[in-house]
Amino acid sequence: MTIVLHVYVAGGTAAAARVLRTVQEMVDSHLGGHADVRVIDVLENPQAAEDGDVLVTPTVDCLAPLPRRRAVGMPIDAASLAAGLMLDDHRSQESR
Amino acid sequence: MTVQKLPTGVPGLDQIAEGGLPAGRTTLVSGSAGSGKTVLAGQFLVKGISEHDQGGVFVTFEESPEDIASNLDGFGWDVDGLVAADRWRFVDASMRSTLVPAVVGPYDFAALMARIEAAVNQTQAKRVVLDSVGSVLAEFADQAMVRRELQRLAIAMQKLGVTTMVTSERDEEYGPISRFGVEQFVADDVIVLRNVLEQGEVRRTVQILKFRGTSHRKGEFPFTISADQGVVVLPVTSHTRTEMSSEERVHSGNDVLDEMCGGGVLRDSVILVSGATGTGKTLTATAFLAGGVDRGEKALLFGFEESREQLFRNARGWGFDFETAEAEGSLHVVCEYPEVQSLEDHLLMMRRTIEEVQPDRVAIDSLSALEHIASQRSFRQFMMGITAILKERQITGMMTATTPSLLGGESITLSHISTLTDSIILLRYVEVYGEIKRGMTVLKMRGSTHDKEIREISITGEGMQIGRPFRSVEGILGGSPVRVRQDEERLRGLFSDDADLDD
Repeated sequence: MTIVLHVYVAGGTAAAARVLRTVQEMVDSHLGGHADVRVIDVLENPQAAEDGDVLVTPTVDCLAPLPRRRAVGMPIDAASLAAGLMLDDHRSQESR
Repeated sequence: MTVQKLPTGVPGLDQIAEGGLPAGRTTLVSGSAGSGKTVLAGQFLVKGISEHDQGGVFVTFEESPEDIASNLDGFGWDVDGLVAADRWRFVDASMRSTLVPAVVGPYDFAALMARIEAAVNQTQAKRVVLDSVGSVLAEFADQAMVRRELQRLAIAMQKLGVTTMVTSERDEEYGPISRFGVEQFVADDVIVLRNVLEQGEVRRTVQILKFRGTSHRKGEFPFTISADQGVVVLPVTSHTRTEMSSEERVHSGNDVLDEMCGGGVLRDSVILVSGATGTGKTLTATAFLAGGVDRGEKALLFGFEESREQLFRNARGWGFDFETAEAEGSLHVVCEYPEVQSLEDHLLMMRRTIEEVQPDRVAIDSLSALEHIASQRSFRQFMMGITAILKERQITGMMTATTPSLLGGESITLSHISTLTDSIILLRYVEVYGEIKRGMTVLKMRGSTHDKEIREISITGEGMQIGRPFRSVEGILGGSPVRVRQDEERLRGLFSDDADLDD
């Protein structure tokens, strides 16, 4: 099953780079390196933020598998982001 | 540095704001639930587009854009059409989705700002509404962060060169300005909308609390939300009382009354006719209107006591043909039950009718009927409002008021509004020799001398006949007439230059 992540950042800032790094770490450590990650710069593509109902940055949406989940804010590390998106214990998803 | 104002286009609001909202800044509109914040905000954008060709962006934090559009559509504002024409854009920040985010760290509103900015650019907006920020604060746990972000948002709006209206809830009508202390980050300009229950009657008022560095009118002003105009502020003004005073006299509807008034009533005066039931108030007003129509003036009657049929029948009974006058367009009659709407709505209706009909004279029969549906305060505001409307347009006004007791006595109406009217005509029952007669006197006439005697009147098929002054009786106004001896009366006669009238 493919995991789809949308990462909303504002501009090519150091903060944006940091959140992308954390997302990549999470993909590597929690998802076995497999995920479809799309990065959206809201300053360049405000319409995508409009369509995605995004108000704040950074926002990380997990669109698949369902249900949709969202984590907002700058995560301290990969583990806390994974916990926010409920991807930390992937196998027990069903029991949640 | 002078502060530029941006006219809102909301009727009356620009008057009390002395030009409009401070341009390029953020104004907080705070009000309790149902106070009309969203309507005002929507109207601000609609008027910007329709009257100033300025695009508008509506950022909604609470209701869906569809709900807002359909609500505003109720006022005849085609928001969907404006959206289609790229003059209006919604930014939906309503967070109605079931997606509850997990907060994993600090964040900012950059995405929202980018969305607003894009919408502003797309519509070339000059006006932005944020409705309502209270919901944002309720949504996010980190209030300090949200506050900081909203402050940044306000600064970003300023940089975009737009004038912003931010709405916020408040819990009490006369308590803290707004929930969550929103005023702390948009502190410069604050407008408060109130929805107060006063003596069982809902009164809406608007008050400009502050405009930094620029002037505005002080105090609460009544407003209504009408189906075809939206928010309409009723500028009860002291300003319009600087109107020029005309020396021109017009016919009162009765030649003898003209003489009593020193040659007619002043063109831009408001005359109060006060008396007990059956003393001839409606007749005086009817004659007043007919007298205008006879001289080629346009007359308008607001009847709040009797039906059209009754009024027309009365007029016919006194020898006035209202049907023909109305058919010819020289008379316009509006009859309403006082209870159908609030006093503010009545005032609005009356102003609109006056603007449409453009009358030279207006009669209101009676104030007492209107007084019963309102609190003292709103009745006084109504009186100030209608007086200002008449004066501004140099319309001669006559209003009737019923006194509660049959013989003399002062009504509440009188004591309240006598200072607002230029002339007062009293009609009284007088008991003389065991017989009830009717009396009339001109109690006050601003800027003119007048006859100070109490004259006997009779009502006939030709209307009102004003006769001789009462002799041998005094204490009529007090309601307890006392017969005086003939010689005393004659003595008094020495000091009067009574132009004797035949009746």
